[in-house]
Amino acid sequence: MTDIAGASSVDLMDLGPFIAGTENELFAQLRESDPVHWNDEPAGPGFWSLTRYQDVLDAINDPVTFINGDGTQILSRKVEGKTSTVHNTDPPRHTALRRLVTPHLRAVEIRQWQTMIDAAVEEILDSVEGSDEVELVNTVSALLPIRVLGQVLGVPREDCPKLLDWTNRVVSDDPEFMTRPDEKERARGELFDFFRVLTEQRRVEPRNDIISKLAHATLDGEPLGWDDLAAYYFVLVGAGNETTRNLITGTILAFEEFPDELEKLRADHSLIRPAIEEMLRYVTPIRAMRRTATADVEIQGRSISKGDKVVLWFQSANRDPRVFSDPDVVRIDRALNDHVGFGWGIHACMGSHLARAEVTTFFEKILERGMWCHPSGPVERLHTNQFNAFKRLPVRVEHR
Amino acid sequence: MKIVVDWDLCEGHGQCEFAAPDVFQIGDDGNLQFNETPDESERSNVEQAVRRCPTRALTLLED
Ligand code: HEM
Ligand code: SF4
Repeated sequence: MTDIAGASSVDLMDLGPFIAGTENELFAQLRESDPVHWNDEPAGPGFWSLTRYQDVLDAINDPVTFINGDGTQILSRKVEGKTSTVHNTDPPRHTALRRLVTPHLRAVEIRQWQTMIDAAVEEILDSVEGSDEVELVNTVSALLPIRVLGQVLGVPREDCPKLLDWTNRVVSDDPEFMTRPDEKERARGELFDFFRVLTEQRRVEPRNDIISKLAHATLDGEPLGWDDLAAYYFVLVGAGNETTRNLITGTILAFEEFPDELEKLRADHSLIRPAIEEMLRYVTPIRAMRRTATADVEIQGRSISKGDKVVLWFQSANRDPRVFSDPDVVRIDRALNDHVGFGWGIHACMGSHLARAEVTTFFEKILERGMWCHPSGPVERLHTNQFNAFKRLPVRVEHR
Repeated sequence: MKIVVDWDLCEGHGQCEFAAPDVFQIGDDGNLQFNETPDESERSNVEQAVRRCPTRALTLLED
């Protein structure tokens, strides 16, 4: 597959540009000259990369030809255990699983959590107010989603730090968290054991939380089996943590690049909502998700074969100048922002309302307090191409 | 402008509500409620709602 006419030698498995933060130049090059790009893999079959907005959207809107069931990570592997998650499944199982939880994550349902979200944000801001310098990721960004998601799921407050540790170890490939070769397996085992105990408790004593809902849920008329339950907890914890924290950190970084936009927001707090949408576009916490072709298809003159892996680069779609004018510029009042930061179609993010509520509340409150966080040292990125993820960012806390 | 919902497709995700909050609301029963014939000023929001619906449940008819 290496002798395709017009193909470029861009290698998206090379983490170098992603760690350095220069990957958007590669995407610009691919979008223009090699929009359906074949990428060899050192220890795998290789994959196609779709980098134009419309191609990504067409593929995602055709879940029959492009399925999730053979994995959604770029690498050919599954991390969730014995059964497939709602994410790594196709209809009809996908639809049935999705229906079990979406009702509890709708916009109206999230409103009942607003007081809790307010309190979580206030507490985090209290802890940094008055400081001069803090490390943003671990003292701010990472704490909010874990506390909020913990409560929505029904995880006792004191156990939230454990959730954080498990996500770091299970989701990322970063050597910092991989102290042993079987680290992922071990972390997953611990996570599952923990949720098993909570599930048993909620079967007896249900509360208003997602663990209770799932503990009593049925699939095809049968109670949801343990493997399916475990897979659900796993996907919610994994999807709800990393992403939201990276949107917070990424937003702080982006405003530093575009200080005039921050001034615009400071002058008019009602712009927070479109500003967060713009950050979902500009930051794109989930850079890409993978599908597998179930038939031979042709896109932009390239022949994709049945069984090929096809990677949808949301990050590149979100910077496609065919759709977004000045795509590399942050404009918090961008009209018609149809970004794919939450994906699109039948697998579109189930937690989008919760994530928006958390991040909007955070920025509302930090602005109300006349505070801000300015990067004061280099950002450290997680070593992965699939997520726009930050490990550490030193910031100076400004108080106006 | 008239909005039609395919109830077999709508899964109550409320993505439409986010795009056009004055036109679409997910009620306390979890079902979608909406204004079938919104004001022309809502057009661009409604169009975004149609594009955003994950299950393609919404159609916009011109009158
Ligand atoms: C800013 C934060 C977030 C971002 C950027 C984000 C992004 C995404 C994206 C791009 C997808 C689509 C994946 C695909 O097409 O393969 C997705 C799916 C998903 N997200 Fe999120 N997400 C965020 C927060 C959350 C939260 C807080 C939760 C949980 C409460 C969550 C739960 C899920 C689940 C369960 C799926 C799979 C849905 C399915 O396959 O049907 N996400 N998310
Ligand atoms: S976005 Fe679509 S599926 Fe969701 S509530 Fe609106 S119409 Fe129904």
